[in-house]
Amino acid sequence: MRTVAFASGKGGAGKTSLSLSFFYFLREQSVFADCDVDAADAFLMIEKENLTREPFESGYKYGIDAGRCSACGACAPICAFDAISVRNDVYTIDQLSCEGCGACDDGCPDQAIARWNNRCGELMTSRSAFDTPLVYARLKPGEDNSGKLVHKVRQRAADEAIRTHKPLIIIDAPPGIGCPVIAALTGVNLLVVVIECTRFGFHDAQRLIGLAEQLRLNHIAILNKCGVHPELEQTIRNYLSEKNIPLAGVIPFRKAFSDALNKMQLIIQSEDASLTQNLTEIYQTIHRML
Amino acid sequence: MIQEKSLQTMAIAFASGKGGTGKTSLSVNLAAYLSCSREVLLADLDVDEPDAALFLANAEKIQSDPQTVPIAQIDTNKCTKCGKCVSACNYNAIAVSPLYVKIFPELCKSCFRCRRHCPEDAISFREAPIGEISQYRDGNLTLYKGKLRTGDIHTKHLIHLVKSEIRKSDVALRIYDCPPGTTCPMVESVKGADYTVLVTEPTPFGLHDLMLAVEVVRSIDIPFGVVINKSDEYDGLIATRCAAEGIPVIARFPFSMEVFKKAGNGRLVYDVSGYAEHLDLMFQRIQEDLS
Repeated sequence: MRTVAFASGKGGAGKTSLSLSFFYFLREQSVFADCDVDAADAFLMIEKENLTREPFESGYKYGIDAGRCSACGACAPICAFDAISVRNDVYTIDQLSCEGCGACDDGCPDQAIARWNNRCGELMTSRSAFDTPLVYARLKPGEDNSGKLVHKVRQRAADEAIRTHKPLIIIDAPPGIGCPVIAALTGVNLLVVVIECTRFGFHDAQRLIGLAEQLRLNHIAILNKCGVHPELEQTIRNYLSEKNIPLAGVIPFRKAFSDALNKMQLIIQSEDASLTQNLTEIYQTIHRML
Repeated sequence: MIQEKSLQTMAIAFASGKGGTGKTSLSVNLAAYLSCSREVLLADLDVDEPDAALFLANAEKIQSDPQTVPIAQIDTNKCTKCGKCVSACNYNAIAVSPLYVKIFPELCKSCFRCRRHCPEDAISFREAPIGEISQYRDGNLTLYKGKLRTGDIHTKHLIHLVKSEIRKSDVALRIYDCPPGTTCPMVESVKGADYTVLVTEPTPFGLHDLMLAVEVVRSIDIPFGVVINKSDEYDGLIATRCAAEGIPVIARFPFSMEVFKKAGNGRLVYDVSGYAEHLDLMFQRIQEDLS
């Protein structure tokens, strides 16, 4: 089984559009894993039928039982996250700030601290429009532990790949370079770095490539939204060749991109024949790298 | 009683569920535009990918400080491997066997609970680097930028540290450029802001992620308004849904190739025809909503 991930550092560079079209390109043999657990939206385009929704629990949350609390205030200074506040002698734990460490419980002489499992998200397994598996997840607002949920998505995608005899998992990674991105990229066979051809896209892609080097990942680049800044494009090309990062292809900036989205089409299904031809060639190159 | 210094501040956070909708473009341009006539503080809280400074070609870096978090460490000479720290740690950051004890620093959340539970006083905390906070100055504009170390996972901590740093400033008008998403880093960024601008774009992804972001700001009870950026013939998608759900759309910035070109090159765009008027209208509306 092989895994390929699409990431960009910057948001809005085209990860989801490009990974979904790659999924379409290899639809006979792949499972799609949307690892952007903050804002998973690939399912909007390709979900045919949701099969299971499972709660995701990670760590604990704490609260104060007002009936037992004597308002002594011992818990508040122990909390390293400033999550405990008092108003009219009533102590409460702010659930968005609580990190679930349990330190408050140590300080409470009244046994007024309650603990429960933190149900912080959902894991979804679905059938895609191509009848192959689609796995995605949603973390609740404000929750941490996105790395763990990303790990769950990847685990489930691997189970589904085995169950349906698919040799490839395609990952749509979250933006950024932090914890969820590290979880989405660790151990993938190939990382496709989607570089938006703007100063910001380039800047963020360089941070991502730094991470890819730390994680020792094979990587290949796609230059997206090109043709607007020819000088910058040349700078990026030079950077890639200095770094020995192969360039799978270049996609010009076109309104056809967002038009296709608004028609609920994948960009590879766009009416713009030169765009689909261009994508097909890029995907053939990526496929060969795998 | 000690009085907090009575500074009347206004903090406006620019957030969005989806990445790439234009949070940075809008927040930096608003900050730079308003700084023509007053002092403005801009905080780049997207510490994974801090880009705001790229727009400010003339900004001068005036300060840069490394940032750290305390991470548990164990003195193996004092440790008796009793395992009390292991049961105290809810993050499974400590492993102990009869032969060894180990801390996984990437799991430690600096809650200090292990130290309180250790009967041998064998646990101390070392300061581990997670990134840096830099301060830039450009005319009346002060930029605070948090930058996470590559491969580090302390996104939330660093955002928290940038916000603590800002608290020391006496600039009244504060603008936050927040990370994308709807989970911990986004909430940490918008928390405490007086107003949140949710930036979206007229695509099905833009709409879907906007609704997630609305759920977040509603749950933490911050006044908010939606800005449709790269507005075009598909605006109806966003506008209809917002109207149905009672969500205010406070401004629209039309898609413009000129803006895309200039902004993509890292240049400010408030001098592009019509842009400043939209900024004015947006800022006026925010002030009205807050008064």
